Amino acid sequence: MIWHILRKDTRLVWWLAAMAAAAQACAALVARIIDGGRQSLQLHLVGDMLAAVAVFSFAMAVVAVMQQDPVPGTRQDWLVRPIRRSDLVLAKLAAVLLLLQLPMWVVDVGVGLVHGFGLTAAMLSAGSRTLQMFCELALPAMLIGAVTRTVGEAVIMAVACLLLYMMLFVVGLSLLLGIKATIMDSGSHWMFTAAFDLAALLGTALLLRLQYSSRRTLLARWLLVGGGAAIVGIAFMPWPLAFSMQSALAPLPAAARPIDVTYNSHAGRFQLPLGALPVLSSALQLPLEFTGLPADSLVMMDRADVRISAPDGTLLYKGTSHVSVDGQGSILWARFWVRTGPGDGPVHALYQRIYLPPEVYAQLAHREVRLAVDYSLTLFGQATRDALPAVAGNKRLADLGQCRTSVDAEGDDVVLECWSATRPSSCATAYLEEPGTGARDFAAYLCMPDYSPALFGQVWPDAIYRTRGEVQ
Amino acid sequence: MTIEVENLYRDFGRHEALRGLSLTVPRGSAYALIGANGAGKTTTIKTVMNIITPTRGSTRILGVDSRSLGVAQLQRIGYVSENQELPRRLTVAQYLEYLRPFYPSWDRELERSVLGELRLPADRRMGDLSHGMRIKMALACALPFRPEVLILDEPFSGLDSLVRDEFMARLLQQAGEMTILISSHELSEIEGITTHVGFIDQGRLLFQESMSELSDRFRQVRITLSAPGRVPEPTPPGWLDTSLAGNVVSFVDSQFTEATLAASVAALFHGVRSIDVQPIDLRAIFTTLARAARGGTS
Repeated sequence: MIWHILRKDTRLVWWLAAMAAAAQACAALVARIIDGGRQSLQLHLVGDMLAAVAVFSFAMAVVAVMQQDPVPGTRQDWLVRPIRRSDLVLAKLAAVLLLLQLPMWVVDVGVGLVHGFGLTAAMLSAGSRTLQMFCELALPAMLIGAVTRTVGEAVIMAVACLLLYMMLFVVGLSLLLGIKATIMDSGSHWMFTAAFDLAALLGTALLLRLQYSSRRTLLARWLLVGGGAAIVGIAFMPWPLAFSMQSALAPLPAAARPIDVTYNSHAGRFQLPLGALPVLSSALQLPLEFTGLPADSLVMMDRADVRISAPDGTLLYKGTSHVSVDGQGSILWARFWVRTGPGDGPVHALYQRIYLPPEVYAQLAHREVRLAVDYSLTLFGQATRDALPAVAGNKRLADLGQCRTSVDAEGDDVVLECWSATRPSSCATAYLEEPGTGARDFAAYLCMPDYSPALFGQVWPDAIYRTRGEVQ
Repeated sequence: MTIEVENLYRDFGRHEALRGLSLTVPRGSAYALIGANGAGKTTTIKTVMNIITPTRGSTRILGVDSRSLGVAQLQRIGYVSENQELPRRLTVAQYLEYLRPFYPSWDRELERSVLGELRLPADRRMGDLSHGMRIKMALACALPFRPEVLILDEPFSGLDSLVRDEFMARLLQQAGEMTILISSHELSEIEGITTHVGFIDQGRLLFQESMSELSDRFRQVRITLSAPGRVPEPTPPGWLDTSLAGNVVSFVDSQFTEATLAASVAALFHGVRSIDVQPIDLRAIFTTLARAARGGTS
């Protein structure tokens, strides 16, 4: 009877499924226009809006599928019909997969093919996105749909949960207690995603069983809200725990052991490079020395926990320095990278910029303090090296996909753009090189750390991975 | 027995909707569950259908505990309720088409006949049907598979007399084939098919018996005295709604036996000029009992 119920649901919600797929197709079309080189803020806004409409329609359609036979209440006709509860649940699942996810998968495959990827690559890439959409959007929407009677109720419940979590975590934990969602702005953010996906799978199995077998809606709602809170809580896990888990999962966990980071007492005061504008912010420039770096490698700072104390041990300031807000209110990306070339030696020096709140900086500027920094660093090895012309280059690069180069609108930067159906390397270094002499310009680091397992796919706005960087 | 309810309790927060209710519906009977609003009729029926789980006690239908009702049993049970929610966006024909495969005994010919007699528009969405039409639709969905048990929960609420007649006419055609449990305020409508009655008040069953026994033991009695008298205190057991108007004493005798009434009256009143005894209908019985229950007598 599963197909029979599915046919009935299809008759009722096909238009919502069509709307979601159409919005997804339109978003893909806009993304294709942007990828074709027509960059504009308006196009980006329209593309994002269409992708958001697709996602929202998809979620609404999932809720509507579930609510064709609502579980809460005592008046629904299906309750007195000889319908196996398991058939009903499986029919809903089939509707979500076949009626809603399949068309979006087809659109994603089409996007991959239009981008010039092979059928298998396009199908796998779209499949990966479909899987993630299923875990992160479809399953939660199924759960909300199973504990509410109308779309309005579902929206109210979703918004209420969001508000509750914001109050609990953003206001309560983050603002009042100063406990931050440490892993979300690091390459380990996948831990939250993985926990969310796992909880969505297990939670759906548990709550749908609870709802369809004994229809205990109140209990199911509480479990849903409580389970959601527990998952959000994972984003606030202590950073040392997340980092040690990530280290254990690294391909070569021991590779970074020989590397030392020390205070470079011989470096002297920081000097601005010739011609550079002074930075209008309250930042310390901390001289560091790295030793033991292998050739052709890159060390990236994931996070630095900074503690400044008085000589007697009184704590004066405590904070993290990978993301900072300067005196002008701008968010500054304060990560650093240490890169070694093929013939480089093991010792490298740099100044780490540590942004401090202006009032802290003013208070500490002229007094003796002790500075302790706890670093979380990642060592990248070089996998591949490739070259393409700086202007009008168009070439498939091993770890980045199909790439092209152009000069930006201002005419002062070379833009490197790449598209890939599989996950590209999360860290790349690009530089301009004079082929004759081998002379190089400043390197640009295209590092968006993402240490997630290969199973996790690209979700927004489609299944295509995009890498973009500007080389000066 | 087709339906057995035993010591059933159901609480909604602090409110006790059912308080130890027990009843039995014999196979082949048409059992009317009567009682005032809020007495617990709908809660009882929903518990029998496993729509509501009991706080305590048990219900069995077709030999199976209601909590274990499965496909095999539900294929033999028809259910019609005043507030049944049917899929609003499906048409009448689409919904019948959807339901057919779930019932192996579904009779297409009977379906056509029911649809025609109830004058249901096949191509109209159920969300666009009037209340009366929705109830008729619920009946049209409950009859074509020839259920062994038909449960009707206040099916006449909000129906005009024409629709009621159509509903009852259709029901009567199949009434002999099945066991019926019906809760209704429209007692005059169901009196014709009822074989058994259960009277429920404040979550308890006050009595249940066959309609013939009930009709036999309830009588409206009017005693005309030769001079104005007074109502004896206390009134004999079984005398309900006793009143005096001049020299006429009226009451409903709930334990009527022809042989003893005259003797009882003679012992209580002097100068009895005449005794008029009339049978009363189910509606009058219900009204009398409800009034008595409210007054604390039964």
